[in-house]
Amino acid sequence: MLKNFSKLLKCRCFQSTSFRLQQQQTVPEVEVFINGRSVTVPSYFTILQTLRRERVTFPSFCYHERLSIAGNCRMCLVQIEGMAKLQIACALNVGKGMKIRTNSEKTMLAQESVLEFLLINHPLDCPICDQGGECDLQDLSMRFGNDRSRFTDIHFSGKRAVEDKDLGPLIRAEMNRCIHCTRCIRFSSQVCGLDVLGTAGRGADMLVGTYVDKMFLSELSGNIIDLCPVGALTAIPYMFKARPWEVRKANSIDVTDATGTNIVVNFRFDRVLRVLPREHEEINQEWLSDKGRWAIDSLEMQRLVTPMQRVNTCLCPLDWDSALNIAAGLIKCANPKNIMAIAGPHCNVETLVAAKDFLNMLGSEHTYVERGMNYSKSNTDLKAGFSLNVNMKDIVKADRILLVGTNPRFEAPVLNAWIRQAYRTNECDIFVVGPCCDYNYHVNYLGADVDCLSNAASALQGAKRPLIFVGISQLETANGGPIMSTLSKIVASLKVGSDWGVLNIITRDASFAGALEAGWKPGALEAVEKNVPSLVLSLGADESFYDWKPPAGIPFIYIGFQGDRSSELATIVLPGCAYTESGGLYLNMEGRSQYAMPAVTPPGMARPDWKIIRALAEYSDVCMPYKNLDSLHSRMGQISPNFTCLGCYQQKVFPDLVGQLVTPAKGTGCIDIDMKTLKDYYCSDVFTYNSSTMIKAQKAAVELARSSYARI
Amino acid sequence: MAGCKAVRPLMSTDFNEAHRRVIGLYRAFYRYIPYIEYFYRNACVTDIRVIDMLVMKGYMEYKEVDHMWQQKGHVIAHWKPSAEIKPQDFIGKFLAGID
Repeated sequence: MLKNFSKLLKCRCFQSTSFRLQQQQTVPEVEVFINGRSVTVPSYFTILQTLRRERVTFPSFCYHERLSIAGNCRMCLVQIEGMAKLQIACALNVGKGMKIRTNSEKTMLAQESVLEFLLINHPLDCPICDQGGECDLQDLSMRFGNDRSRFTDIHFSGKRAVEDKDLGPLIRAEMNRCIHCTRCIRFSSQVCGLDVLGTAGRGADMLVGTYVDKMFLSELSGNIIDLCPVGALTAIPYMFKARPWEVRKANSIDVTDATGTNIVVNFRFDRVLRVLPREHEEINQEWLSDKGRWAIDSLEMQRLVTPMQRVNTCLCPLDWDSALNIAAGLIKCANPKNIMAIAGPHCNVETLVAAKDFLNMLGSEHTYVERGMNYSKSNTDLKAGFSLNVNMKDIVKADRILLVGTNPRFEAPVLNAWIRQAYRTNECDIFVVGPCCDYNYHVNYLGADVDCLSNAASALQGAKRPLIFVGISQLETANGGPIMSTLSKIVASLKVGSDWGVLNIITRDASFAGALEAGWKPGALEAVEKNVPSLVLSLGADESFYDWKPPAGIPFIYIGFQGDRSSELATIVLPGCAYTESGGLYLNMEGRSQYAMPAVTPPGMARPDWKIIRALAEYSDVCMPYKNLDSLHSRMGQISPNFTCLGCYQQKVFPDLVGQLVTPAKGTGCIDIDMKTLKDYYCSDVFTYNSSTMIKAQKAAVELARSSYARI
Repeated sequence: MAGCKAVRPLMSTDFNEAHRRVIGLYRAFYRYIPYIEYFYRNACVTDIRVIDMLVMKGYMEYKEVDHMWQQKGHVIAHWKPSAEIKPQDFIGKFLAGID
């Protein structure tokens, strides 16, 4: 143990020295002049980057810092002294002593003219355009455009008219509005890895579209709507719903996967209207998965709005007082040692901590998350054994990646964007042990069997920054042990720095890391089979109850927001909140804790989940030491400092021990993945199959897979 | 003495006694005044500035009542507050859905 500590200290020292060394190796800097003001920037900067850094307001359409430079909108034309013609700022590198004139007459005239040309062919349908209010073309016309029109259609030939494209049930393409910035094309080919969109023709005849009648479906497809500077691409579920200045915004965290994607929930009149990504340089850049963006209509589907009690086969509505009395009566009658709580995928840490405290006070230790994991003797003591051990942004530095029984494209789309970035920019080779799946990069299949892992050793040998990703669903099976022990041996044989976490687990549920951190145990199904509980308390857990039904006579209390399997079986239903209503703390797969702000109020008589548990405790004569969020948070701080120290990524300790503590087991050998293709992605869990948008998308994906253009 | 009827007195037998009762009622009202205007409630106040402020507020209140600027509800509120007290404890707040 001591040895490990000293090792740890050494690697910290090494890190800090290497960091200092990096600082000393500075890139050459050059001096340029912006309107006569001297600034110094790194020599690799473009002029537009320089202007952005110096906060000079400067127009552009096609330039996007996370995509390649196209330079085809000509909006960023700028005068450089000594150059005869105007230059595009986005594509021109800075040179020594360059004199940039952003407010000269020539520059301003060029900007005005470009906007005038764009508006010749842009429809004047701003009043019925969804982009109105957040449209770059509107904003730039106001700031840089001319205030009077020279466009008189004397021959009545009309404006350019382009046929609309059918990009699927999620994205509306109104191609008349397109200004040919090609951001969507670059995004789809560079980030999504789909060459569906493209251009045809030149100049005024240029068309953006799909070459064949093919839908644009991808797990990140919604981002092209955010990227589109005009209203050519808009969201169908949000069509004609609201204007951006009417909506109120709450910063939140996406719970449809475990990446902890930062989102902004837009709401109005106490209804969630849409979800947009929020920039986070280390997690989601500025992307958001389609599930996170569009599964929100599930929040209004099958909602539980009042406490209910089972009478024969029906659930009858009750008031809170009697519901809590009945539930507390059930709890008091049950054998306290065998009361069991099962947490669902959307639980925030507040709920998890309150529920665990409640059960512990009653005398029960049975708190489980739905997902199982039993490959290690250390259970969940080693964080490195169940989380991502590398900062998500560092995935881009990887030079060889091995995916074992996981398809990150659908299990963690924003993480997959990093993998794809490593593949594109770092020439990363990607190997797969598992069945054939839809990946959006070239992969080398090593086989679909656990024994094939031995081939992986040679594949990863010699890599400077290798990464191995294991799907959490593999660790649920008996294959978990053999996989982890083989992989640990491979990791030990690799020569990489101790600060580089090679072996990573991709988890699936937003509540998973938080629950394990709070002391919950994995494997609900196994636990109920081992000893029959005297009472089951389900916190939004539905999935398990498709496989297991509580035997007759065992009381079942459901606290959750959606009526599905659990509420079908429940004796008492206590309506809880969704993540947009209660907010709360979520730990993502890296173990990074982030706080989601509540957006709307819970519907009907629903209450925040942790308060229900707190009230239930009081009715059961258990006194819990907190009664508001502040005191609950200080309790959370006692359990783990991670619950109060928000936002930062922390290096995991003792990653080498993970391999040493593997339970020897013999697996079936065959590795399977449940989300292989896009049609498996949209409706993969209870929350998403309750969303009608996701069902439409799934149908479209099935249709697309059947179409003759599927493989083009 | 036709047209006259001898009646039993209500309480007082002569004018002096009746006068005493009137004075008694007057004094009873007088004694109650400190309770109306919170004189006893604020008896502990020693800060002169605060006392002055309370006196000023008292005069304002007096004038408002005198001129009938205060409605019935305002006056009665001194004896029986009509606003329901919001629950302060956790369960009370939970059941009422307040937070």
